[in-house]
Amino acid sequence: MMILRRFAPPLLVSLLLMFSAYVYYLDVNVRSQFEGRRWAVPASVYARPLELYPGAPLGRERLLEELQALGYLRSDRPEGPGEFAVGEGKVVLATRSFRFWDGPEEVRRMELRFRDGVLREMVDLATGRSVPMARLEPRLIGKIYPAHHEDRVLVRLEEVPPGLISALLAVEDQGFYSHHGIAPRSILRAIWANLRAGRTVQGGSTLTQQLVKNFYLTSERTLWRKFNEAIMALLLELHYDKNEILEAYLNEIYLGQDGQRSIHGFGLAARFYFGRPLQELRLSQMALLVGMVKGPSYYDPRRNPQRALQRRNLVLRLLADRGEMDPRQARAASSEPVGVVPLKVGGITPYPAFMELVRRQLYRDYRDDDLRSEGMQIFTTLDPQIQAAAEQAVSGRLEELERSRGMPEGELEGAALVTEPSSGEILAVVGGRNARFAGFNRALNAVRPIGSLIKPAIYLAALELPGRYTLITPLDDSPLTLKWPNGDSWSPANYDGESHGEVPLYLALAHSYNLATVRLGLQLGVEEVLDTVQRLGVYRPLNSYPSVLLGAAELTPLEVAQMYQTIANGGFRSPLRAIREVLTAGGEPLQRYPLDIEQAADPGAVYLLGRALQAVAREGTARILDQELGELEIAGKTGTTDGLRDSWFAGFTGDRLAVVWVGRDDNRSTGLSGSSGALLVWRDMIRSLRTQPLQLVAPQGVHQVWVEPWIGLRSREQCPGAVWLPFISGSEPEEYSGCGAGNVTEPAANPLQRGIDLLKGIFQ
Amino acid sequence: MKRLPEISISSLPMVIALLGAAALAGCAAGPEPRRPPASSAPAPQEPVAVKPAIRPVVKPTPLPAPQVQPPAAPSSTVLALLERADTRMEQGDLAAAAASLERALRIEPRNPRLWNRLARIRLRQGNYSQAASLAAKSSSLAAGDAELLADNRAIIEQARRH
Repeated sequence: MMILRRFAPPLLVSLLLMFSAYVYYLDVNVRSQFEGRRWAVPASVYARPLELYPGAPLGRERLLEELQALGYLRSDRPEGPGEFAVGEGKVVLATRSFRFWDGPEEVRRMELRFRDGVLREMVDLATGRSVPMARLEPRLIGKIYPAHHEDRVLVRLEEVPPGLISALLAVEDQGFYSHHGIAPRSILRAIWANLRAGRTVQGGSTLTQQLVKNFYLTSERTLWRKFNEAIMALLLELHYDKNEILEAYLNEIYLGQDGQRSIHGFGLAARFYFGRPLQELRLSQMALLVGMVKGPSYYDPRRNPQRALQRRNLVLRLLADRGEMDPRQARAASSEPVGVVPLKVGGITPYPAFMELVRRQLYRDYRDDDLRSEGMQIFTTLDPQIQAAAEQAVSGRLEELERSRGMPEGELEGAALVTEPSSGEILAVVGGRNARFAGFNRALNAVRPIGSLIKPAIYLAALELPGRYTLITPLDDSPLTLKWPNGDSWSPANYDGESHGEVPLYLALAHSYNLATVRLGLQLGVEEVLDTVQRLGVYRPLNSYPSVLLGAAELTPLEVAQMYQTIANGGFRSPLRAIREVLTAGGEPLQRYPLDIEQAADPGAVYLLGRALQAVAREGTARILDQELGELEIAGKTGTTDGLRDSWFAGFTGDRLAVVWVGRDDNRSTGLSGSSGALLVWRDMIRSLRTQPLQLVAPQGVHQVWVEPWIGLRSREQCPGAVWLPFISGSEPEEYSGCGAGNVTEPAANPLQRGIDLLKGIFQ
Repeated sequence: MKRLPEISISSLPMVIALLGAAALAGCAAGPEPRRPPASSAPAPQEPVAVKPAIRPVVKPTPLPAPQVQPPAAPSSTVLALLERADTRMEQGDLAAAAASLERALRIEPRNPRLWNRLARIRLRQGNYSQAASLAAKSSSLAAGDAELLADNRAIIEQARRH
């Protein structure tokens, strides 16, 4: 007794101290969880938004496809955001609000009218006025996850539908707003309710306890764990108010699994199961999510639809019984189907090749940790519809080529990139035949000889010297042999094995004559040509051997796209971009990647080159394009490498530049030239896009005249073989051919022609 | 602080200038018409003596009188974006103004006025190399528009001085 009396107080004190220390430890722990976890949100990566404006090359079907991808709901009377109705040549639509870099896009009810594949009119139904422009919210195309692959879409309490909250409280924690973290009474009530129902319909732990449990992802059910949870729940309630805890709960609670990715919070669950934002869920859908809290995998509506349905209806009945919901509404909701959307393929992203490019560009400016946890919003340049067209063209055409040539299936591989010439924005990236598979990304990483794709750089270097070269300068296409000091020699040949004598410069390019090109390149100097390649935006060091003139240089499709981008943009280099803007989780702008251009070549010379590249597609190696796509006035170039190992085509229209490579991963022969392989993929792709014709604009200092290219003389429209060609002013031939010289009354015989020439004189 | 002149253009004169420029561009600096209109006599298609027939790279078309064929005026969307850019500029938010212009350029990439406006914004932001490049780009699309060419030259000149 004495001993007890002597030792008890210090023992008690030390026990108390130890307990306090422990509680303090739990307190620090749970607070850091609460503060930290609230913000562990992966970065969201968005596609480019669909721009709506009168005159947009956008058909009704394309809009409907976009609406479907965004989870818009078809209804007879579209009222709320995210709903639409379809009529004859029109769509009535209530858009969702979305915060972009340059400000919010508000909710709008509009009628959109279409004709001939063009969006003609947009009328605001609230004001009756026409709308000059609007944007749909962009599609989410991927996320950059934290290491443990937790995913969530943060919602603020005020954004959560009241119906969901009252259902959640009714089912999980009726006394939430009155208890202090634990509620003995509600445990008793739960037991009573479960007894009455004959099974578990209600849990005993409060939302606060459940939240704490979710912080430590174990399902261990020991008493010690329960004890800790209870203490931490009390501590949380001490530090934070009810609404903060409820908001954290709504974002934290585990609601499902998608492969490695775990689905946390109601915001993400709404999108994951129903493809819509939380605010747009129906009562039945909210009830289902609330019901799933108890056992997300047991009640998974995709795997166990029947079980999920029963659970949902039980929740609805409970809500009706508790007076939280009108019984008739509850009955109506009970009769609805489960209504989940199919699981998206590709899991983390359907566009692994494009995402690699996005990540590559992001890691230049951001730390990995920030990307994975700060919930940043990344707005990219991907156009999902163009991406789909590009994927389809690559996989479909390669299959077709294998079939028609009796090749084993799966032997050919391919890559494609589509960009917008004036801005350098990358619209689509295809890294291989199976675009969903995140394997070797050929568009970014396959370094291959480019063959004749190098030629435009050689001809540009020549055309920048208007004193020496014009589009009709005769080039010598006769055979040649180069001898090296060590005794080796090199005798290039033409693709058709023949030599074509003296050929006007633009036709030597159009027909891709190797001999004429090598001679031209040697006249200019290999270093000069490589300098032009570099000016066009290729920074990979290239060997200055003469064989580089026939495309021994090895580049990736991405580098080729950069080189042709500069040509398509009139000689102005724009670094290819996959990202437009980066915003914080709260929508504050962090960084813009603005349009950035630099003059790399003389615009006049680039205009001449563009016209020669149009001849490639009209009468040269890519002339099959003239048959069905002639009205697009495409400019481009084919490329084939030794032994038919690589087949390339790079070309552009008025608003799209695309590069296609076809080859084999083992680098063996494909049996395909540029025109019989890559060009066909390219054509399929462009055919399925809506694209503008290429209307090259002649810059100041370019003068167009009729000439007879094979004899290098001025001519007239009515003369046989006369061609209307541009020249850098002063470099055009002055002497007329026999046909043109016959007429002495210059400049034109009829007054109309004179008037035209006069006008030309004024404006050129 | 140096104040740069000719920046504070309110949106209305801008719009008028733009329409005027488009009218001029339509008859002079627009892209080459691709196909001759029905009224003009087609070039005779005779066999060529020396080499296989080559079709003209682009068939020229008699230039129409301005009043016959109205030029493609900038769309109402582009005008609205320009107005927005002007508003943002007045508020001093140059980045947002530039973003609006980039959006407009996505719709009309060959409109030299838009490139010129963007060049002006970059100049005001002190991004001189971009200002000069954008002005040069504007000029490459503006053949025949003497006023715009002169303004672009002024931008390039100003940019060089820094």
